[in-house]
Amino acid sequence: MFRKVLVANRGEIAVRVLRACRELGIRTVAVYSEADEDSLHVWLADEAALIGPSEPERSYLHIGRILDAARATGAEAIHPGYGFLAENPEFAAACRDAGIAFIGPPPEVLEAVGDKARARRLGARLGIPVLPGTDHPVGDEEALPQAHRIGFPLLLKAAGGGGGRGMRVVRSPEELPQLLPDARREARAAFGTDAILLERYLERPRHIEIQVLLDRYGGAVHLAERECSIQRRHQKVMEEAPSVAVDPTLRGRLAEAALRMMREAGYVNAGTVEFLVDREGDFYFLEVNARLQVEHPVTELVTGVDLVHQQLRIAAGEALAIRQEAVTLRGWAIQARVYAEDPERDFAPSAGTVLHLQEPHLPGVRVDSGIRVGQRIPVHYDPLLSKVIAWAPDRPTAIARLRQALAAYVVLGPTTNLGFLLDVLGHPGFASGEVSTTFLADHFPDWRAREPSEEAFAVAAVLAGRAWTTGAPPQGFADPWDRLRGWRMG
Amino acid sequence: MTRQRLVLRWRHRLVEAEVVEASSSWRVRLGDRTISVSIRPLGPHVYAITVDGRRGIAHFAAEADAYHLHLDGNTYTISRGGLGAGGPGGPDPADVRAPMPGVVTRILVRTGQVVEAGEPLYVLEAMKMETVVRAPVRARVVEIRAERDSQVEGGATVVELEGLP
Repeated sequence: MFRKVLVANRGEIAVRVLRACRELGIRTVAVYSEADEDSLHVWLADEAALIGPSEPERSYLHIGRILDAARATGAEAIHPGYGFLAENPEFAAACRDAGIAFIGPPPEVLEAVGDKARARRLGARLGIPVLPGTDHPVGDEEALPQAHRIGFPLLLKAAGGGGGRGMRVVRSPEELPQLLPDARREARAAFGTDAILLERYLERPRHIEIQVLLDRYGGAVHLAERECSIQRRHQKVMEEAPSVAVDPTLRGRLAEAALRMMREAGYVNAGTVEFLVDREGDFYFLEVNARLQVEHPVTELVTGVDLVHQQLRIAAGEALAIRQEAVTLRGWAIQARVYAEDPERDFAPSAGTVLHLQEPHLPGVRVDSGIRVGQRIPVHYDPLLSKVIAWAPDRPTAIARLRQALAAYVVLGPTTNLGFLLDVLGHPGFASGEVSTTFLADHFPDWRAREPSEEAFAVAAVLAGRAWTTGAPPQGFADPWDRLRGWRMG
Repeated sequence: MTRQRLVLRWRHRLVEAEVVEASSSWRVRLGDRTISVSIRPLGPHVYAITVDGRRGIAHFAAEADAYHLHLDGNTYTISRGGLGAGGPGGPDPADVRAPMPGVVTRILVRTGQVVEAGEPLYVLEAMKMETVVRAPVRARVVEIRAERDSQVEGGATVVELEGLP
């Protein structure tokens, strides 16, 4: 096993990986930008290296500076987390050239599966169903004829990455000239390339993905599915394992397709194969995520496998110790992503300082958080603050636990989506499992936060009176708190 | 006995409260309703409260002119009415300031143009996400104060509007 690992990421995933390393007796190195000097991950690591200014291109995306930090600290391996450089073949190759282990698949594999068009061709060659679409990025002239060939509605997808960036649904030929440049611009900003693919858009599909683990000796297992249909603007908000829509037969077919694909690609380490599943239970290959997923905890809770430990062991050259027959699903797990964002302003990121924080402590509830009190939420990065994951013997109980946990979660300062998440969990359609990737758009097109009750205004009025005294009190204002202190003592 | 009148604002809703301190609690008058509140600090930002006989825990933190309150599983940001952009007459309905720091990637209106409520004004890119800022009400564009591809602070006025009836 490695003696020292550098974590080339920030936020909750850096915290998660740092803790996993510590559990295995591995010393840790964090890297951070100037915007993250006070961030939680910096304080958790044995060593921390400042790698540059706030802009990602000059810090978390800067291969040279990260490798310098690894060399300077003597780290033997780098865990990239997700996002940033996690699926960047150039980074994986640079690690290899520097004699540092990259905790993820080899660069050639990253290149092959990370290119959506190539991954699609591979799937089609292996007989895995794919949606009608282009198997190469389209030029501006070619786009319209290709669109007519595929049919409407269709989806514009960035060839260079996921997370909903650069994605647009085109419902008619007239919309294409407007939406294609939009998608290109967003894709270029997010991934450095404006390559766009066209694909048939399925109405109300479920997003189902299979978690796999492969070692370098041909050992391979799957850890069943996650359902990630609750999405806004093509970005996942809530995930669960298992899925109400997957029976053992479908699970077997999906897992077989996923493992066939990953074996053929020469994949090593933890990875995910994403599918769309329609009403009839037919599935279509979507893409490969060649990294740890944001939603990995739900799989961990229902299978008992620690995915980060497995990543470290596989990268260190160990053979998989998990046999497929030993993988069983126990209970139900649901994850809610807590974002610093305003659901009422089209989910725009919100900034601010965490003034007060209280995380929920409940049976069966896990909180993977990247924040602490006093921390300024930087505007430069993904606005994910933390993830709350509830496990229970069955789905209704998992929902009830997650609702309790989110209601008890106090984050004062930045605007969060906690209220929105609570309303989604309370929706009868979610309870019945009747979900699809358009669930949020269908049921919460114009969500509004609950107005404070009169009681809440009354409490705020009394507490605000006290808060004034810490600033400039209005003229003639008597601090009721002085009396309160007297009252407490008396 | 101290008596304090204050105006609180939540979004576009203004609430006038009169807070009267009684022996060990407060009486808060909101319109024609009077609510009895007692509050005991438990630790930084955490209070045991009793509101009209109902007990609960409140979490509270204050910023310059915003108060954050967590009560009964809900989080509210309440500001002091009569302060800041809102002015004593309430919030300016034509306030379309940048919701966060970012880069103005597109400006979709011209000076003098009349826009309808909901019409897109400009596109702000932050955290690699594009946010379309729209007119909240029917208005006339008075001035455009930022250039395309320029960096703006959160709260910066990019497009100045004048509300129209």
